Amino acid sequence: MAILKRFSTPARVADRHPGAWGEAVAARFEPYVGQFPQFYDPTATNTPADAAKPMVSWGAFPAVLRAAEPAPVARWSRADRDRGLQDEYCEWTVERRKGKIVRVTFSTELPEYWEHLFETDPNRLLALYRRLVDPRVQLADLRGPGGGYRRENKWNTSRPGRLAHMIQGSNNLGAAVDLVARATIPRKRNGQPVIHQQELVRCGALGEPLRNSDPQIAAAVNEAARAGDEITFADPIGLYLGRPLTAGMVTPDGADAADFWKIERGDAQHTLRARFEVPPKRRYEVGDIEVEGRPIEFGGQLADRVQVWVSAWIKDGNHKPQPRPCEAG
Amino acid sequence: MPDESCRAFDSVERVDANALNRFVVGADPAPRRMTPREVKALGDPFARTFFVKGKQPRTAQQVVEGIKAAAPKKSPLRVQRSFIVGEGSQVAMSAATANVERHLRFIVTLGRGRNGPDVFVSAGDPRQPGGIEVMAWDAERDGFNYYRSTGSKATWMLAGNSRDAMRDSSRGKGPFESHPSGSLLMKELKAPWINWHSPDANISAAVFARDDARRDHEWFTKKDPGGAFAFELDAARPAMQRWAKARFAAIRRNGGTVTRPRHIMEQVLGTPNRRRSTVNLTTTLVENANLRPASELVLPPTFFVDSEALSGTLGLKPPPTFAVSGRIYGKCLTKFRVRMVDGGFQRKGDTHFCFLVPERAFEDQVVLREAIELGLLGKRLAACLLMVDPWNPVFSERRSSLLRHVPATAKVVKGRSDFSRQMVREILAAADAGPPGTPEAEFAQRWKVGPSFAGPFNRLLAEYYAAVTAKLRTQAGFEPYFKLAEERRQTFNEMPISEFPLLLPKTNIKRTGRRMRSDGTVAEA
Repeated sequence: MAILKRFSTPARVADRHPGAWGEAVAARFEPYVGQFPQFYDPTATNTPADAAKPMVSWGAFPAVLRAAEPAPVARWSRADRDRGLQDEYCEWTVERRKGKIVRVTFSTELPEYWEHLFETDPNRLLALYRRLVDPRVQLADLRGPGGGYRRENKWNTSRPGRLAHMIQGSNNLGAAVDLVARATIPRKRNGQPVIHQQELVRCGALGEPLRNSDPQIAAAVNEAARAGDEITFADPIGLYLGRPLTAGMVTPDGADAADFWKIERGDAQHTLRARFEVPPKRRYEVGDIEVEGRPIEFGGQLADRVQVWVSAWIKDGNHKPQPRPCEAG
Repeated sequence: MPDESCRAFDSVERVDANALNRFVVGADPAPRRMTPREVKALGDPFARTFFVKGKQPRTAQQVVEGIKAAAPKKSPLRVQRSFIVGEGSQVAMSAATANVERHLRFIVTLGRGRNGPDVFVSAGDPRQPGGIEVMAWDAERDGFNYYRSTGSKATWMLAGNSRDAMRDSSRGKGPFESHPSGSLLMKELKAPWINWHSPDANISAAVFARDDARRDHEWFTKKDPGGAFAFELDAARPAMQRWAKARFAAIRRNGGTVTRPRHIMEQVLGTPNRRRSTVNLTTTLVENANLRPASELVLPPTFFVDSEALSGTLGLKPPPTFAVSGRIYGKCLTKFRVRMVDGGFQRKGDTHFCFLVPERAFEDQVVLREAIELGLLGKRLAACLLMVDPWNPVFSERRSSLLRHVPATAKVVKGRSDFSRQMVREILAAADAGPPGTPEAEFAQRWKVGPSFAGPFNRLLAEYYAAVTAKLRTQAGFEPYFKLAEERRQTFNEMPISEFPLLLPKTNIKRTGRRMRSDGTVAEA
């Protein structure tokens, strides 16, 4: 592999202005490259063909909420009601019929990409909204007071229905780039290297130590950095959904619940958006499926079983980084 | 006295390395070569790939590769996933820790579907011949067939089927020491899955010595990125459910006759027999290394109450969040000299994640649900039994003493059984005849509230939760809980599944038979 021509769109989805997206991503890298010598821009520097490509994977259900609220029903219910709590680079919304869940939609789509569509191809953006969210969407609904794209608009909220893309404050490309770049700094405390992930996040002021996602991403990046390697996001840059862990789910007709996961954006290798829904021919609904003796009553029950992942490129470097003291206690 | 533990396989003599031998510890006095007919009757993919065809895999890797190669092209058996666990897996590698025994072992699964994988292979090294453990689902007879290899040539033994875990001769022996109900064991079942490679704690290649070939083996380099998170939900829990459902399906097929209801009730009430006890281990989500005075440790609710059965299965209100400050917890670590020790290695502080405690096993939760669904156990009886000494959700001798009232047999017809009535009658009679304060008397009190038990039980538990919550706010209030946790860990340490020194922390707390009381205080016997 040579120098990447440009950053691909997430999951390499078709786009009429891929160059503009590439530039938008490069602009997000730019402030960090140089400042963090072990974080690199693959459109500016070579990535060898034999570069390692580790995948980091975690659960979609927010760990911070799980920690604070161990009672399952309470945490599922809270997470379903408020996407502001869904902070693991994955968000979901729920649809019900007569109180029973009929469909849960999961997305790892970056808000920045939809912003890019708003700026470069508003008609495509509108078509996507109409196809994926609601046929009644108008372009004016998506415009903010300053004329720019409004990420959290009337159609992309925590309310029951279908979401468009992620809106939680930490779930965006900018935050992910910032985390990976800053995690390339090895740390020490009392002369000892900091290697455990929660401690590393605290020490490097890299965010919330109890999240599923960031501490693990930071630890993986930091381990490579300690070895002197250089790190960046693997192309196509993005956060992706893994298949849900459906073994043990009991369906009324004995069907394998894995078949009810339908990819709506991206593909099996790079899934950006998927729904969990029983095909109408089966004559039952998601709410009729049981997980450990309990019917599915919350999207959070599924989020407990949905995997999210990101992939990095790690190439050999000759860096001899000096661990820095902690930035925070 | 013959060795009836799982180590019995390592001392066998005169076994045929070129055949499958049967050695169900307790039932068989010694290993014996299985007849072709017996081998042919085995209905699992491992036996069918190798032994039925007269082949013998010599390493763990050959087991995995052989089954995959023999499976048809689109068979789920070609889906391989590897996982890694090790009690010393979070001890950073340095000159000082190079000799720490990390007990790293791989678990490789083959198969994927609504019941989870069909084959589980466990080995410390993909290339090892002896000490390989294989569990493979027998589609003909149901249950997992347990296999074990031994010696430098990988001599294979059939160590039993899940069903043998229930037979008097082999109960709690051989592999059923660690799998007392015949189910798969994943001790650290829940997040943060202490000791496992998981999203909460990665196991780095650096825990292997530089010349250790395992660090470059695909079982490690291509391990499932979801780690324990994926194993718990896609393999361990489904496997436990699969066997429990098969057990209860057999009862239904048998016209509803439950020949040994005591076996089921031991999983509901617990047992004082530590060779047959089942627990999981759980912790807070807070790393010991990340513990700060300002931290808040949300404690596992199952330390205080069996919330999964009482709330999840029986519909009572869930407990509140129980939390203690890092300041209080940290002082306990110092005061009670908490440390991790293995031979010459010593590190001050707690296990990788703080506050490791045993909790009621998931396999027992599944059995409780199945017993209710079958109609063997009424919900009211289940609730009243579990509300005897509910402040001690594990290792409750008061609750397990009620096993003496379990009827010898039971019959369930169309979801109805006389079992519950009989058992209640027995306990109430004993309560009448005995002094106050007995477990039977406590049960009688619970039973007295009638079929609408939820309200009164919720009130009882709410008082207890309030008392606990108040105590968690102070050093003096929390220290007895810290000691109780150590008491329970030491009780767990009597169980065969407590195998490695770095599994549990060491403290200066002596065992005194501590027990939680209904007012949230801890009694020292």
